[in-house]
Amino acid sequence: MSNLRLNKISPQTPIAIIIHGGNRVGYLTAKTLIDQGCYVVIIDKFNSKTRRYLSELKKSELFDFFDFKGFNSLFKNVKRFDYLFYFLNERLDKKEFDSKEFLNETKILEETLTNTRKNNGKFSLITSLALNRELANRVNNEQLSTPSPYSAMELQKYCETLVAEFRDKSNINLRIIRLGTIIGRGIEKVNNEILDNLLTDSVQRNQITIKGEGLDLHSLIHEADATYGILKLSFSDNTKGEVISLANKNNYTTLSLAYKLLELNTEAQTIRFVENPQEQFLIQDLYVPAPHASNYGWSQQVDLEEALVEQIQKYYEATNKTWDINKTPQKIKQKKTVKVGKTKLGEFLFSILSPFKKVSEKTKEKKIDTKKTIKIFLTTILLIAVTYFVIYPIVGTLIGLLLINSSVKNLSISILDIGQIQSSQEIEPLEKNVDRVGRSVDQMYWMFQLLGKDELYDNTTQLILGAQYTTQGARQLVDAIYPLTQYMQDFEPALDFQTSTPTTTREYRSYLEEMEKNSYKLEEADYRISLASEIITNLNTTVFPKVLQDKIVEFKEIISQIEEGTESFKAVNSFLPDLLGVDERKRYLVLFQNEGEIRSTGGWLTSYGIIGIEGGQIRELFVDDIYNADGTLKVQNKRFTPPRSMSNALEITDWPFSLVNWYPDLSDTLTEAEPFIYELGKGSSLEGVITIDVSFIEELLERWGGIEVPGETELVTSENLNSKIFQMHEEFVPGSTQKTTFLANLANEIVKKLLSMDVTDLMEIADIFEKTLNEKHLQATFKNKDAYNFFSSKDWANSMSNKYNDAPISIDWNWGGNKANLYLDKNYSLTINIKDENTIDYIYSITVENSSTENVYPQGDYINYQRIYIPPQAKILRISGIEDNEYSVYRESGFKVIGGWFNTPIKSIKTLDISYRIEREEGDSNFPIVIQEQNAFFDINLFKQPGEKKYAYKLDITYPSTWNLESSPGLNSISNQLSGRFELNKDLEFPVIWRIPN
Amino acid sequence: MKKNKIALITIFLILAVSVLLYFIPINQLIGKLPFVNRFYNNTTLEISTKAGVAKIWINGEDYGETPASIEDLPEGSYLIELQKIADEEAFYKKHSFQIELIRNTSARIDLEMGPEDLLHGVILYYTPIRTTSDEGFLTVISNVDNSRIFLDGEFLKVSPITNLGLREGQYEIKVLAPGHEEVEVPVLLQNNYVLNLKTFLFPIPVHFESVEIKDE
Repeated sequence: MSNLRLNKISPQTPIAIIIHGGNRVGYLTAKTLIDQGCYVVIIDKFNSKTRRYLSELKKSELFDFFDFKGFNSLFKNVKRFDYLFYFLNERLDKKEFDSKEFLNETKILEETLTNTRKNNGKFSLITSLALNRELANRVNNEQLSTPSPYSAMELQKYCETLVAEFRDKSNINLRIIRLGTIIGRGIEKVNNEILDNLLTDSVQRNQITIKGEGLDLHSLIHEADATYGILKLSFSDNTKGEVISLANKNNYTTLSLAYKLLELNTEAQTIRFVENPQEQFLIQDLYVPAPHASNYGWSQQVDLEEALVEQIQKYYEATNKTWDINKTPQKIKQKKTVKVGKTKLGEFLFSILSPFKKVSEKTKEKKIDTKKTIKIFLTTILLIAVTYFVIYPIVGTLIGLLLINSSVKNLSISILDIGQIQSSQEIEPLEKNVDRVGRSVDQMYWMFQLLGKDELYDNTTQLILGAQYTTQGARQLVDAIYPLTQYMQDFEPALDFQTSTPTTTREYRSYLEEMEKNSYKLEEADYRISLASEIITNLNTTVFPKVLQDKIVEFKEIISQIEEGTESFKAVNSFLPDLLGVDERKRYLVLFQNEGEIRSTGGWLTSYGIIGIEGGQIRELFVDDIYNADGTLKVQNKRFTPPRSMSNALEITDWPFSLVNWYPDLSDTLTEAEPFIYELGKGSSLEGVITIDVSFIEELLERWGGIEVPGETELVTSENLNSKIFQMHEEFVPGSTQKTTFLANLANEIVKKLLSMDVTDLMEIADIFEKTLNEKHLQATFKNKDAYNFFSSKDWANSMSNKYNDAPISIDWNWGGNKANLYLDKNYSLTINIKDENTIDYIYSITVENSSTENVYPQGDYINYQRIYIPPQAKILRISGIEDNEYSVYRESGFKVIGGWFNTPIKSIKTLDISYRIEREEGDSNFPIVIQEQNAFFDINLFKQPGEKKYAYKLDITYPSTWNLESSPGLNSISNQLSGRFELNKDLEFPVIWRIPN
Repeated sequence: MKKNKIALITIFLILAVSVLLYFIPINQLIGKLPFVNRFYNNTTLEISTKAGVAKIWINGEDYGETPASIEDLPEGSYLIELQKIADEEAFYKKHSFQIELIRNTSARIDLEMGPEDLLHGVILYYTPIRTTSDEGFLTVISNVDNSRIFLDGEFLKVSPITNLGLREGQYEIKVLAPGHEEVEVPVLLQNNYVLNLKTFLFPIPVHFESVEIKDE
């Protein structure tokens, strides 16, 4: 303790005195000052605690130490000093003092202040932030006791007051620095009982014990930060006269520190809460600290975790244990299993107050930034708007299209498939997705407008509307046809053509009844799908992006298929239950015709069959040669009188069953056949008649590549079918069963094959049915009104309805006993001259060429009784070409009929010409030209005789030049003439519309 | 890093909300809200049958007899069933129709029920349509194929007519088919709605005459 060294200090060297500096922070402060070239004097007691710091500092020449015993002499010998650091906080390590200690301390402080003023130095009083907080809480909380007069709190309060008063009186450059609890590598024992216990528990025990709730707050600071802060604040002039809090900016609760310690992989694994008998019932910490040091340029350098790690390390060293800090991250995960306990009162209070505390803490922590709030609000609104008007429509449309695309591929197939359940499951989500895409596209309207893509939008919405109609219709269709598909799936015939013993008794009446009930669904399905088809067909595909164009074209095809299927299902569903005998047994006559020898309904009748159906099950099945039927009737002396027109033409008096198809209208044949069937004992009434000719069977055999027929040594194919039939006809004698057996076996095999096919296979040969029905190689008519209307409207019933009210109908009857029709070629010509809206002239001619080379079966002269059916009111103007010009004209089936022989010998050509006029009569509702408003409608219907081949037809129409043609599909128009050249392979219709000027 | 995280979360949220919006039936939900549902359940359905009275069922529920005006039905698809009340009920078939009721619109069924399944008259209802043009749209179908449709006396085309765009206003629709009685009905087209007109035509009874076959 040399006085000499102090007084030898050069005036340029600053001198700092640190009172109570024999501690870690005092040591660090002194060391820092020395390192900066400052002369440091520490005044403290010399004891075991202070010795190690002082011993270290004494190594420097710029350091000196005085014991308090020489305190008074110090200031006398010191000529100057610049800084004085009074570490009162270190003096406050015990809670209570005696009066002597109290007075002695205050005296030292007063002496120090006086000398500081004399030397014009800077003074810093370092006190305890924790004590100040405790004091404030005691003052603010009436329930807490006031501190004792000589407590550490009172001493700090007194000293701070003294410094403040001194400052007021002397304007001395001083400040009070309230220092947080110091932690760090150099702190052997933290100067806070609670924290010390926490740290001790954490390194020595497997659980940390917290008394009470652990919500009391602690202000901590690392030793380096404290040193730096004390120096920074003391050197700064703007801290003059200020009271400053020096600690980390955040306060920490005991609990949070305990968790932190657990996270740092200390010995302790859990936290245990215990009752605190000294609980101070501090509901809320109302302490308002002095301005923080950060306001004066100080900033925290060491974060809490780093500081705690150092402190824990120190505690571990004291217990001679090792601590592996590197395992901490893994440990943190494991700490999730930490069990937290609370006292009962603690639990109760925490549950009640924690929400309020959280809010209170958050409010305290976060200041409301108005600009930021507005910014966040506006951004949120913008994001919502962008989401709703931009992102959602795009995302929604994309999702929808993806979902639709995945399910639409198999839609057309599955709808028409018998696996209805799968179809329904596919359609339901599809319907929803189409609706959702519609909503999404709706939201994009503004985008289309902005981009000027109105046409694209319109077409897109139409596409969606079409898709909606399609899915709605498809769903109803699937529901409606379910019983039908089930029936087709489950059907097993009880009989076949060869055996008369039923193989099953199963009926399908419930399916048929369900089909009847579902008719309205089919109506609705048909309505929606036809609308959809119309909408989709009219879409302008080119406005869509190229990637979608193919899909839309594909969709057009799908909807067209569905529409076609729906129409058929709808029609069929309306009459099928009745035809299949839902209420009673229904019998049908099947006629096998040979068109090589043409007759009114298509050909010479070779065999016939009877099918009886009840409850959807076949209950009767019979087939026989037509001549056996004739023979049976003859033997039974059952005779029938032929129609007058027939007896006149063919000069016969008896009407055999084999000639029952005299009338061209198949419904007439149905009616006329009934008595024959009755007399044959095959049923009292017939519900329908079906005709099949050789061409139909040929078509099927062609597709199937032939069929095996029992009794035949070779496969029956389309090529050898005719020769087999000719052979049988040549060899036939009444009573023989050769022909019957072959045809029965052939029919049986065909029917068996048809019934064994599933719907998909049937759909594959649907074109054969459609073609042969259209070309009248396969025909059917029924008494059931709906069935008749359906087949008639399709021209499949050979019905001579009142729509044939203008063009002539030509009917041949080969009476030559050969197959000359196979060797004929024909040309038809019809010229229509519309004089005015009330008068029409028709000129009709038929030219026939017989290419038969010899009069040997099947070739020969074509001996034909020709009938031409014209409207009943027609006035015949000219007839030529009939044999010997001998013809008869009579009314039959609502027509005027011209009948006569029009024969064509082998290797010859013959022509028949007929012309007639039709004039509108008063009250005539069946005149071909219908005038409605300003329009004239003229439908020309051309009738093709069943069994006829495709012959050339020439149609020419001349109309008044004042009429304006509006439409004439299928016909060419030149000036006031229309013309068409085509092959008459089926019934044809040419609707013509004119606009008639007033 | 934090900003990227926020951006990613925002994008994810936007996409999630978009997907949610796609799947939520917003209109149906709004239609169930109190007070608001008044604007959604304000449809009107008028049913009348000429020359007779018919019983009405809507979605299987008995709604009395014709004529009837049923109001405040929620928007949606309905199955309407009509059965003519007659001594010989078997003579008249029960008819079922599926129609769409859209909010702020009315639908009308005006039919004469004939024997078996014959009908004469119209079913009329509106459905909304999205389009850029300010037009009303007309759809006409007939139970008789290729019926001729006239608009204010002008021939339009044969049935069906689908979504024919016309100016908003009142029109006179006439449907004619050979051999059938005509149907004439005034209609009101509204912008952005399709007027769906289903027409049913009675066939004109045929008078049979017996004619002796004789040579001329």
